[in-house]
Amino acid sequence: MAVNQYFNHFNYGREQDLVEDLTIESIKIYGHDVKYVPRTIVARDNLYGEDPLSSFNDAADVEMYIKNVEGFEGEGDLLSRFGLQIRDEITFTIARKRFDQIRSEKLMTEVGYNLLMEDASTTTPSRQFLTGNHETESIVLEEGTGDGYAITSNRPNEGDLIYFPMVDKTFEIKHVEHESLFYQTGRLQTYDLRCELFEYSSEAIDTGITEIDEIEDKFSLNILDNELLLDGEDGSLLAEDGGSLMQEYTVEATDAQANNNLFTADILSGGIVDFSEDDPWSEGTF
Amino acid sequence: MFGYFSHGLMRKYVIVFGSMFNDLTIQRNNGSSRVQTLAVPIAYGPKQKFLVRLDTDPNLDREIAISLPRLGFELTGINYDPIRKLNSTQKNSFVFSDKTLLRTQYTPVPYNIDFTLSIMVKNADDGTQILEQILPYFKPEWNMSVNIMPDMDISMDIPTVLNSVSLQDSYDADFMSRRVLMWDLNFTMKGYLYGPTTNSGVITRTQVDFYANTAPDTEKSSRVVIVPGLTADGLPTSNSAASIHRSLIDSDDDYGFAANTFFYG
Repeated sequence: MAVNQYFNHFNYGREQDLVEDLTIESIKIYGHDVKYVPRTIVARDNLYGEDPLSSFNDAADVEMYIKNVEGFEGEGDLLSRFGLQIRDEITFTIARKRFDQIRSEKLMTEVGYNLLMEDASTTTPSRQFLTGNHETESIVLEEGTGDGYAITSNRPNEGDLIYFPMVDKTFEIKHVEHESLFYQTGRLQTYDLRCELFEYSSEAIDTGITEIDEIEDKFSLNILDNELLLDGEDGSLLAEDGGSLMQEYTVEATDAQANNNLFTADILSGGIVDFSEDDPWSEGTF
Repeated sequence: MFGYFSHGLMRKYVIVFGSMFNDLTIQRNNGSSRVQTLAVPIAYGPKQKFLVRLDTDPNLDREIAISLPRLGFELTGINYDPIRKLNSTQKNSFVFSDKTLLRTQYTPVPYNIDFTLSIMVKNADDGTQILEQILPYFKPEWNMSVNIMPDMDISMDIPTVLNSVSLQDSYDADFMSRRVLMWDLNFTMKGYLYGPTTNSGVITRTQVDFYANTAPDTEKSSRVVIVPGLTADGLPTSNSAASIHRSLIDSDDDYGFAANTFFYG
């Protein structure tokens, strides 16, 4: 059996373009300007399947629609033995075409409208199934006008971040649902990005956007950030044994929940631990 | 029945436990060189919710869910340990430096104090690094010399025994489920709880009365009074008449004993 050849619901490009453009327009009307922050894999551990040294070095402007309009989903704010955890979840919707456009170039005007140059290549639109790279399939600007974004993937990736300026929070994409709206007119127009508030683990964040980069400034536990540097140079000041010289540093400075220094102070000032000559383990130093 | 006393021992045990793990770091390498050295925060878990909220998200604008890696621990229970029971009537004593007072206290009661230390990490390698810095020290116990009762000048080696280590890793779920990677370490600290102390002065006069029989209302027949004896020249004497007053004699003087017996009836 074959479908009726006189009705064409799923393979008419003009109609598919129309639905896609309407989708984009709707997101532009009801959505929010956010920043898409791609993850850079630095030193992947293939055994554990992780990359503790991941970094975030770019931020692309794009508009997205928030699906859970009544507030964040997830478990909300809770207290555990690890202190306060905020388990907010959110689902963003981004148009496929728009993601394809931001991969290499910034194609929005200052007021957020789509900017299409005269020389843009529309011969091979990449609105449906992306199999090549962004240089062959995306709509590109004239040579030399690029903003140099480094989004190399042809779809939003799990693990990438989305900064939502309205609430000043950064979310990590946990799952990309690509068939949420199931083949309207025979084509997929959007991605649903299911995200949760970012669990930060001292990753390097250097996007150039102050609001995003301050996460590292505020929460990084990297002691090496406190290395004493040579005056006017990039090198570190080293001790005689080759170790780094550190500025005075306490964990509490970057982690308000920590008690590290409290334990040390109580132990020493309260004389709780016996570091006298009767104690053979500490050798008088702690 | 019981008057107030507290030596702050439970707080002391919590601090001692926390201090064992408050200096941990982990390193991240890019294959050839060290890129990061992270200090690992530790905190006692149970806290007033409002204080945690006000400390960590005072303006309701925290950008992240949580910062990892981190350690949290809590006291989960205490149990009497009969194996370490000491003689209940035995007393510890402490003489003040000026030797005018003697402080005494009954022997402590042994209690096992259970702690759970949890390690929460985002990366498995972070967790194993922390774990490998803890486990080798516990064979299966680690001793810390604790000034447990400074008022009594008592310092004890308090062993902390590592009982078990377990891993929670909820990686095998749908993509929207949060992966929680957490190590739980259960410890038992073999502590003691001490009772109240009692101060008493230096005994400078003893008096013993003797009775001829045990019938009620019997008059005593004799009395023996013993006091320290020390001449004005600083020599010991057994003659109380030749001695200076006992209130002038210090406990570390070279005094003698003067016994006087009085007879009645």
